[in-house]
Amino acid sequence: MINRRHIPESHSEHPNVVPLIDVMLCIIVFYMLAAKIGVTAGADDAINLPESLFGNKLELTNTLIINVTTINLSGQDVTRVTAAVDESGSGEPVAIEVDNPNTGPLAQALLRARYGQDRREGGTGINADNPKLSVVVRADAGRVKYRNLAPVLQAIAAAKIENINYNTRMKENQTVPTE
Amino acid sequence: MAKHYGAKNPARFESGPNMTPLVDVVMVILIFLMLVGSFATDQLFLQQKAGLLDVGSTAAKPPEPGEIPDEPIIVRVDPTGGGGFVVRADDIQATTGDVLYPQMKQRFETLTSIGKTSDKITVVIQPNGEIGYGQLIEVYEAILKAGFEKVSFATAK
Repeated sequence: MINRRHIPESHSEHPNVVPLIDVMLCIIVFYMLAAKIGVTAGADDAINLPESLFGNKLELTNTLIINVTTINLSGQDVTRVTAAVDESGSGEPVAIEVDNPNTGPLAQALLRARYGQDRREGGTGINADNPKLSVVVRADAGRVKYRNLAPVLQAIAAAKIENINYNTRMKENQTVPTE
Repeated sequence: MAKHYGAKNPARFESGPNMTPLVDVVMVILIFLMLVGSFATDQLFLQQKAGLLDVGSTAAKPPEPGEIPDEPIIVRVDPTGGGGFVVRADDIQATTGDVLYPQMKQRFETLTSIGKTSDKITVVIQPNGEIGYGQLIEVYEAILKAGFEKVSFATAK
């Protein structure tokens, strides 16, 4: 009599979970590689960005995010600027005064980001220049007026930062620009 | 799996280590990553390729005969009653970005048809101080969509 080989019957009390674990580990590895966690360092999520259809995607590398909004002080709207310019390098946005657009705290912080600790062109190490530094301006669509934004733009220009991007959000129910 | 035989004990199989705690931990990690991670974002970036310009400055030297001067196109944005705005540039006038876009596109096509390249054409937006940032972006986007590359903002009003 030929002894046919066949799959032995499973007599285990529990279902075989090994394939389930394999699939779940694959999914976990996928999420770990593809998902972005904590990438938007320095961005103030409370800001209501304006909508747009046109625009590019941008990799936020070598980028300084400047958040511009206003707060009500004694019945007046005062410009509030935050940016991740803390010298400790924590990446958390801190409030910074604009004051004089060419020499104020914001201008000095931008010069330090652009030209290093000495805030002058040239240098190595901590004084090394960063010519490819990009600035992303995140301003509140409903609260910020141009008179609030202009000094910030002047400070950026005073620091000779050439790559400026304005952060917007895609209009809902739109995926491609309309003609 | 080891199979044990005995005279009185029936055949039994060892099922191996208990996988249940491993499955629990893996599911918790998976749910954490699903909630915290983000993939496609709805954020866009409008790039500015020209620096701030002082509208009051004049050209350094007069253009050569036959040379088309690189005068910037000044686009003024002023507020109107009711929270709206009006955009004016030479013979162009619009109150929304959708109305501004075809006029600016026609202007761009006119300039490129006479030999001007996009890197030679500068547009300077001169907004009133009370113009909202959302309105400003609407105008900026319309001008960029029309094909202009060098679009900047004015320092002086």
